[in-house]
Amino acid sequence: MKNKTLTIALLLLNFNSYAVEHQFKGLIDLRLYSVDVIDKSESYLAGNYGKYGFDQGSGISLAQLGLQYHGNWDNGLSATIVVNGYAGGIENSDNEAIGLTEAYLSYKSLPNQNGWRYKVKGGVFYPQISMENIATAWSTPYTLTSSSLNTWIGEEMRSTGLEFTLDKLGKFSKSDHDFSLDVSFFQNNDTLGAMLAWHGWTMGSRQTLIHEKLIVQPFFARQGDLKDQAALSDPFIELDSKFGGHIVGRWQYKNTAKFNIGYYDNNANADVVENGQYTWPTKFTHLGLKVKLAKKIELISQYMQGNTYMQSPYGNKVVDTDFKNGFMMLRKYWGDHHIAIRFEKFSVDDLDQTVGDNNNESGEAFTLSYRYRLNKHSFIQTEYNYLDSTRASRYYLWQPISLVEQQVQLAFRYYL
Amino acid sequence: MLRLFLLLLVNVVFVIPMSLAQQVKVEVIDPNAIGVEHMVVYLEPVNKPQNVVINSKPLLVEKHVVGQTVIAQKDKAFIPYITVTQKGQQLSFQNQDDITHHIYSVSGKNRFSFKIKAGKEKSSPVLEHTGEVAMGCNIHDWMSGFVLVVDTPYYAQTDDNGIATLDLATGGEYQLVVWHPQLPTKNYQIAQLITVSNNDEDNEWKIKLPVHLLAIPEQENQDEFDFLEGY
Repeated sequence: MKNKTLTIALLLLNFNSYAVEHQFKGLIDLRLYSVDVIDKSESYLAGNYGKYGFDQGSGISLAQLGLQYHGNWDNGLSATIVVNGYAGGIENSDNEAIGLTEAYLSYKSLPNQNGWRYKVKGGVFYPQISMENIATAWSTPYTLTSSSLNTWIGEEMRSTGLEFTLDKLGKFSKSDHDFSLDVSFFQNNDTLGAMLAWHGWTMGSRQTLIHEKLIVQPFFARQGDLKDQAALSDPFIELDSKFGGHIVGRWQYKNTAKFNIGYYDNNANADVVENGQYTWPTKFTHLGLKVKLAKKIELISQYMQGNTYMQSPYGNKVVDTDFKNGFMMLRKYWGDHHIAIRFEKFSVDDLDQTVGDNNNESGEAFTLSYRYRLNKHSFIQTEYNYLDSTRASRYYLWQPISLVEQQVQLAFRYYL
Repeated sequence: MLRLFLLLLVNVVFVIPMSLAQQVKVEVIDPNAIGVEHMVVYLEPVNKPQNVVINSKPLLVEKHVVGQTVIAQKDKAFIPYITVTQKGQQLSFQNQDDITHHIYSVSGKNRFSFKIKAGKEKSSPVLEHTGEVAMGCNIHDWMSGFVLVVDTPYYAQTDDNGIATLDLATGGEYQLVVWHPQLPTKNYQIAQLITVSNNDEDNEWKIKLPVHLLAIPEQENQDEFDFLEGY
């Protein structure tokens, strides 16, 4: 016993002998916004059907307060904690919160002489899908709102588990091609898909904090077949104690092209319901592409398609939807200027027969965003969004089924 | 500038005491007869004469070490991309960026790995073996740099016009080697035996590469934004 203690103490001492470097990063994103829809349209974040992260009208919002800590040991181990906070933009203040979005330990080996390298990550982290959300605290440097595809990832997706990555760096064999394979196993994602079915695709920069729950829209079936559904969906809950899986393959050519392809399955057992939280088996495939078309002109594109469903305790599918989403973004930068245009097309197809829960949706969106760098850390960014969608469930709140929603924003962003 | 300084030092240390100094001029051209810059050129005496000094230990002169070759990390790139140094010397890494780099060499026998914080300088271990040292940064994968470690004091790199000038202590038979990490030949080099005469004007050599160099990878991330994470 004494020996064991000694060994552990020595191990700890050894661990401490590797210097740790503390690194703090952050982001403040202040916005003036104006959302132009019908009267009294409220954001999906407030439990309504507004597609943007702000209610109808104008106002000021702390659109993101991101704080990020990295503890880096010399031996390749690091600890990462990401906190995000939000305020304003939603009338009833449901938006105001601060909390963790990610927390994990990771290890990255040195490559060997043939260019093979492995990484391991354990904790709560984003699945590697987004080609936009690559900056501090999962922000996107290109636009103020993420695409609807990645807004969904920020809202309902987080992996609690382990991710293994194997990299093959081409430079060791004087090759221009790098390859990488990720495999992850995770829990706490059993309700994934509920919000996508019930409010459809949305566009914003709000990430759900790990402790948060999401307001479910008030469609008629919640008095009927879905009366047991909780008023708040808990996106990061574990109900069936089963692990889901995600596999992503990546290829990079020089510094001019990146491509990824992946398959995600939360592997939920459809039979479970606890305190109004149902399991939603959700599967999808995703593709991503980032190509330099010319010097300082880049094309970014992602596509996703899949299915999510939930069933009653008697085994019939109460909600069953197929979903699809794709976007293309072109960006150009010169000096301190950056301009991005993005086109999106998305749909949700309702496959079930449940009365009072029509989740059919189709839509298109256009975004024009301009960024100006004031200095190394500070940016002014302005953006226009146009979103034209048809969503049957708006009928439940006496809103037009076909609707154009427009948004203009002016942001000051400070990256630390 | 530093290279010039080092060359001068090499001259002062090795050449001045010798009475016969031979200058060798090597021009490296590509298959289209255009001069190729940054090629490493070195000469190894075939029969190592007694009077050629080969460094075995770094020589300390004031603060800087003779033969400590400085490689900067600037704008997330190794500058210069190619360096040549002599066996028994060290590399000095200067991080001129405002972020940490994790420099490594994992190929060949000269292996090292360490982190350098913003604005700091760190030396590699003494390079005990000859050959190519391929360096990278484990944080910024696009960073790439090469060092060729040679066992002779007679080395140089070609200038913008493809010309390298080497000062030898004495004439004689030498192996002339031209090296570049993107030269697609065996061991990334071509070599030939030359005889250096004691008459300066005869010592001009033109080396035509049998093939073009492969494209030099740009040491630049695809995304230009300053505040990226490993997402």
